[in-house]
Amino acid sequence: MRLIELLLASTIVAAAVSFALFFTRPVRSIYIRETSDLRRLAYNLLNDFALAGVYEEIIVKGNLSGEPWEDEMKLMLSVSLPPEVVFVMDVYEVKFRPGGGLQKVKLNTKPISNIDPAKMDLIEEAESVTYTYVCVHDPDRTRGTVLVITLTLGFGG
Amino acid sequence: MAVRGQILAITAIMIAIVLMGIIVSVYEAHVFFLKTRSVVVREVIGSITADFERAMATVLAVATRGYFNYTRFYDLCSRFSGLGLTFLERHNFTVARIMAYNYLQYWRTAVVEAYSGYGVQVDFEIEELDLAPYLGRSRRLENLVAGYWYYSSSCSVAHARLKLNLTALGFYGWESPVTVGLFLRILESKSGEGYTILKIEVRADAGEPYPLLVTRGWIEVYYPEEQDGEWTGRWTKANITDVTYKGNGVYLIKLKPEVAQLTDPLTGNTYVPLLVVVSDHRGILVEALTYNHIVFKVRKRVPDILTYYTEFGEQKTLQRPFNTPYEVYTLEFGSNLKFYWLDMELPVDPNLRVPPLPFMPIKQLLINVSRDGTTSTLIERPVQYENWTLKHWHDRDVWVPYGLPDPTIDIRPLVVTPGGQVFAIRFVFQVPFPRRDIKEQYVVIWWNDSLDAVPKVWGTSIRYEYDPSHHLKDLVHPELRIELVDTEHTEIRSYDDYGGVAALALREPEDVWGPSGPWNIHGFGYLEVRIGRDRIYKLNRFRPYGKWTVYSHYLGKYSWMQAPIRIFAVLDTDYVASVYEEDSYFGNPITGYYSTLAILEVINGTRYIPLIMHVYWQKNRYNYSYWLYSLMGAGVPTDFAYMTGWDDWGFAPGWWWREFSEETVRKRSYSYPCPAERGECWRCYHTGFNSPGLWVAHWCSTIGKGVIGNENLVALLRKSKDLGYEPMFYVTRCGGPTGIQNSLEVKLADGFITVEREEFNPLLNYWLVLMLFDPPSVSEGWKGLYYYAPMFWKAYAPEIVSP
Repeated sequence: MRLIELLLASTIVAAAVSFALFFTRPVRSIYIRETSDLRRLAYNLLNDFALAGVYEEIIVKGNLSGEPWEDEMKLMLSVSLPPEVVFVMDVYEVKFRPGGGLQKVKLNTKPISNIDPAKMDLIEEAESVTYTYVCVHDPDRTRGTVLVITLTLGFGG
Repeated sequence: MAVRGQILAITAIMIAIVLMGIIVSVYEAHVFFLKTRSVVVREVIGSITADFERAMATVLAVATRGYFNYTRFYDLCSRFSGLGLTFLERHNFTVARIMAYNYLQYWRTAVVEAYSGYGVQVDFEIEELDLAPYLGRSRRLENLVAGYWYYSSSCSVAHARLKLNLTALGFYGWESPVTVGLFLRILESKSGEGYTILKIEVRADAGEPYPLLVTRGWIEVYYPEEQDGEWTGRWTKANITDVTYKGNGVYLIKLKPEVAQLTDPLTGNTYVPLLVVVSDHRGILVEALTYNHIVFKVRKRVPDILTYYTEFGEQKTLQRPFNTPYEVYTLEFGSNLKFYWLDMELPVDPNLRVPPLPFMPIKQLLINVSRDGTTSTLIERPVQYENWTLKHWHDRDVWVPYGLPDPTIDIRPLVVTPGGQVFAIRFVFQVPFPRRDIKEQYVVIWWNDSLDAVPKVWGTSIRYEYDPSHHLKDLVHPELRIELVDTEHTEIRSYDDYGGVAALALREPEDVWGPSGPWNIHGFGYLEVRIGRDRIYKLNRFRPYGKWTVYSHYLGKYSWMQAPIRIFAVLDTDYVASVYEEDSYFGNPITGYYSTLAILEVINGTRYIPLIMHVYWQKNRYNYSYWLYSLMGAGVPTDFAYMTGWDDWGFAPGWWWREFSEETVRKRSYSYPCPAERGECWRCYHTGFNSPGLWVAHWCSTIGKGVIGNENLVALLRKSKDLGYEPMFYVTRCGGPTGIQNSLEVKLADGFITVEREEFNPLLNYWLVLMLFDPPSVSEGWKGLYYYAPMFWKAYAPEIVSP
């Protein structure tokens, strides 16, 4: 009799644990991790570029000189991202209006992307981030310029 | 037994329920972690915080670069002029702060819009930051940005607390203190073997060592420019030959040339006078110096015992009183590192090398002066800033004030324009010697290290009253009111119309009793007027004609601030005219006589009023008598005296015709008899005495007034004597609207004279000092003047010595 009760009790506990574990399994956890990694990757990359002064070196100097800089930026992104990741970047300069409003002026005149930007919408596992950057490096004449950068990353495979 | 079995089952069920609860809680926590991780909260927060740091660095870079040299960094600074930081406000850190606030508000708007998907709410809060750990002295950042420069430990800092919410994610209450800055500390400076070695430490933000100075920032070192073995006051950029990073933010810099090493007299520390400017890669800039003050002593040279002769040839001595409250020297320290007193450059001890003033705004500079010759009584004293230019005036170079500068502009050392014009800024301060036994006083020139420094407002008892509608153009001193008579203000109130002739009408401060008469500063020739069969001679016919330009207030945004130490009135004219209405030259000036450059100073806290005179004859002229000055008395003085300038003959009291020596004091009363060598001596006399010298004075029982000249004046008078003319001291008893004058007049020539340009022009540069004094007695009232007169002689001018 005791043995039966003991078996019954053990069965109840085991069933409860199994039941709980079954229902507490994260839903879509794999998907969440993958897309969040893209965002994280995007932010980390943009931060690294900021620390290295890439925006002044490529975007600012390119705009000041009038030389095409989009290809250089594209190359920079290509060598910094895994090969299977596709990207689209847009760069805007924020201009402050005297009344207090903002105006975003797009700086890149052609796509900074390793795929056709129109096809980016077709990629399911893609994430877009927006990043603000105050230019702090030389040259003096652009110090303090505020850039808004949007970077969309996706798994191209 | 059945009961036992049920209990076991129930226990198992309860354990199962508890386990399920725990697991569900863990599940919830895990899901929350995944949610927040999935939208990369950490990265968003990090990105915004990093951008806030960059925005803070930007405003600090703009503020510090603009403060250091707006013109040089015009590309950057001019873009922020719309936010308030204009060229005119470049040295106003309050405006820089407003610019910073405005910019950060714009930045905030941009961030909120850019990260709108996260529901970002961003704000920043001002909080104080103690900078003492960085600087080694008690300093605080109180409002967003601060800069403490010009010391060997300097910094530029911005600090605020960033507050963030990501409302779309339910993430609230993130706060992060953000400090951006650059800290520069000069650890050592020494020189030898043809090089100067500088050791500095550079730190950034929260005090982290900054290793990027050479690769991404920059450093400039300046040393004092030298000409003919003397420092000019200018800074020259050094040639840096080597920079070694020693780790922990320390750099060893080797530069050329080898600069002389100095020793600080107060601390005993040795240093090489260098100015160091560093900038980090974000543009934040700091200026530091190897020294933060300049020390020297002012040594008075007036002897304690003065000598003079009586008219009977007896040499007498006169001990100056123990208390000398009016022995206050108003000195000037030029940005060209020279010292001035009146119209002369002061001698400087060859062992004293004065390093240049920092490259900083004028308003930063402060001066302490001791009270009793010891460092323990060093206290801050008023300082006045003045613009001076070395003007080529006819045949000579003359330093002339041309205004009081905007205190917010940079100190300019000697500036020589391509056209050869020379400009310098002078810092005026007063050194009192209130007791006879105090021979030297310490002076410390130092500077306020805060970029927020504003010019100090000092109280003063002098003022300029200008109101043409009320016929006011007066310089007011507590004991005297000087009405500036000129082309703009022709009529002396309650007196004569001078028709544009420049003169000084002396009045009492409250201006109740009317003028005590004009002080005519130069005059030549006479006018003969015939009335019926009578001939009347009007004296002092050709007098300077022009306008007194007054400098009493600073320029720029501090134009409300009055000069605390002295007010200038400058007359520069090539014209002469007559004050007599019947004269064709009344109000009708002519050239062809002499040009006049006169600089009048009304000085706070003293009883003397210097008048620096330069006269240049345009043509040789012949006429009757030449007055160097005439000072009326309105009948107040009862007695007068003067000191002779050379050996001569004259009537001593008792009508003894005697030879008297140089420095004889000759004292008389404005009464009969009138024992004079020259002129009329009856009724309303105009009578003269031989050999005028360094001073003349007249007084009554309560107050005295005198004019002290310098050695140049005596040399000029002697020249006239040597050429055969008769320089004289005169007094006039009557005349003018008051009826009684009791004047003091010094003539270069009494009688006809041909003023030959070649003979007189080189000597017509002298100064006169009008001094008020307390007569010790009626009989020896002149002693009240003589106690102080040597102060104004070149032979006894103070000297600047090493402490």
